Amino acid sequence: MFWLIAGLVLGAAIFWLATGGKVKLTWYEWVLGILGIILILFALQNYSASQVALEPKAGGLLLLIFGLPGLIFAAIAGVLAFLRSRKQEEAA
Amino acid sequence: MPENLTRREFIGELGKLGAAASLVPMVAAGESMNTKPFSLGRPGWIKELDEPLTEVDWSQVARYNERHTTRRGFNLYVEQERIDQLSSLSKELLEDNLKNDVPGYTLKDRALQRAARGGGASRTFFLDPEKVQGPDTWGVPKWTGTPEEASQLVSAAMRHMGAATVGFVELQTETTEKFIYSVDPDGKELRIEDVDMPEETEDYRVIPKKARYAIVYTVQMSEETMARCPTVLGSLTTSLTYTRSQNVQERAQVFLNGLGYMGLAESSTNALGISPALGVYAGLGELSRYNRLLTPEYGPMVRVFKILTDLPLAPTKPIDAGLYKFCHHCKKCAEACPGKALSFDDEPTWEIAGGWNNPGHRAWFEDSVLCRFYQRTYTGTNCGLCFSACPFATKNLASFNRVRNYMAATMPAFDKTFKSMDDLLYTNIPLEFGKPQKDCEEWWTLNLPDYGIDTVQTVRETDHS
Repeated sequence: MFWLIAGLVLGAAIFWLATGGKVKLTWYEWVLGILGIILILFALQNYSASQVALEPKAGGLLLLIFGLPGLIFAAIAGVLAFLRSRKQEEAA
Repeated sequence: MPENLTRREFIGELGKLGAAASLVPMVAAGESMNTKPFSLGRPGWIKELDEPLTEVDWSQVARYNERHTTRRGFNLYVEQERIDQLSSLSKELLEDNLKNDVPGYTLKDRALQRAARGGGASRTFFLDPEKVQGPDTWGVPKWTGTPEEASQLVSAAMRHMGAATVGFVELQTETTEKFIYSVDPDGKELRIEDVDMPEETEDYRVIPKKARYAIVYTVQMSEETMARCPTVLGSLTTSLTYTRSQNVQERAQVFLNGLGYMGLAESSTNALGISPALGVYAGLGELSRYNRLLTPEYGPMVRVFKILTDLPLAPTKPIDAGLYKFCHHCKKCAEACPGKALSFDDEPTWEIAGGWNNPGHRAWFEDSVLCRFYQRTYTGTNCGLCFSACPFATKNLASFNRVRNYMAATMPAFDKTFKSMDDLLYTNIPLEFGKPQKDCEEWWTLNLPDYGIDTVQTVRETDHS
């Protein structure tokens, strides 16, 4: 169920960004954002599966190792897009 | 069928019905079986080979006497007086640990280990023909089909009865037949002769030459329980797997007899033939640094068994899943071994470590005497740390483990990185001497699946495309 909801939310967000959103992303923001999301999803899967596999330490470390860079990449993409859109608004 | 048909359409529909009706007896007789070549259905990145990566010099290989292993022949390598001392030490340690409620050695652990050892079907070389029902008793001819169909049939039946993976080796006189022991664990000679039926006497067992096909199968062990070794609790992992295998073996024998063929199996634990060698040739896994079978599905968490039959079976091929190459760089089992019984050499060697090894292949040979010295002096039971410390002894639920499996098979340059990652994530080496990786008392509170194993794992790992 988690993966179904996550897929729906992500799909809607990407659709909105690609078609109707106010912010138009540059190619490198797309790359950073998608890479970040992949890393975050990978980290979440490893975390939850490691809990099921009774390996909580491995789960926590995998969440950190892959989730943190994922968050950083996604945040960079978001901040870059936000700053650019604010600059555009100010110019307008 | 539509209601308003022209005469031409009506005849056409009748033709379809007739074709369908003519197929019914074929389906009932089992003639519509899949004729695709039999395979274990593994992902494409596991390569099939004509020869295994472990090099073999057949001129140096001879049929091995099982009583030369340290399991049966410890007194060939150690003086009896020393063995008696070790046995006393072992007994004292078990008694002290029981009285002092040492985790993993408590009354409940001892009781469970005793329970795990019981309840299996008795092991028999071959079943009494008088007591087995087959085609003769049912008044039909014996089952016939292509070797591929036979392999598919036997694999499906045995997996349903508790085997994890099933592979097949066709025995060749000058090569793979040498994996059959010359003497069984109970001291009976194993003779291979041109006779029609198997035979067993007080002194020997006869394998008919026509029983050319070795069915080699694994039975899964519980990673979670093995992580409690070296203790009595950890040791029941192997005990339970052996008793489960006894049930698989007897049922497979009944099944083969039911089809009209013979099933010659292990008369006691580790009888009939060399399991890791047959496992490697059947493609169930690769030979590891700890000199046992390492499988792509379960890592080291299996025991390997075998049955000989005259039912023609399609052989399965040796594999390269990157495991043997991974062992070159890893050495984690050797680091974890408290008895210092495993090799740290970068490359495998042709030089055996002692008479407990069968020469003629290039491997990392273990010092089996050191292994048993450690077990009897410090654990009172068996060990298994080399198995549980292996990076592939994971449940493969986390994607990271699957990425590692893929990378090991395709990009060996990352093997050292994955070994370091395993140290960080799962097992800190060095382990505290003689201590299990996981808490033994906690084990009793876990809600583990049946037999402590994940039976869906092989299906999940199978390529269904």
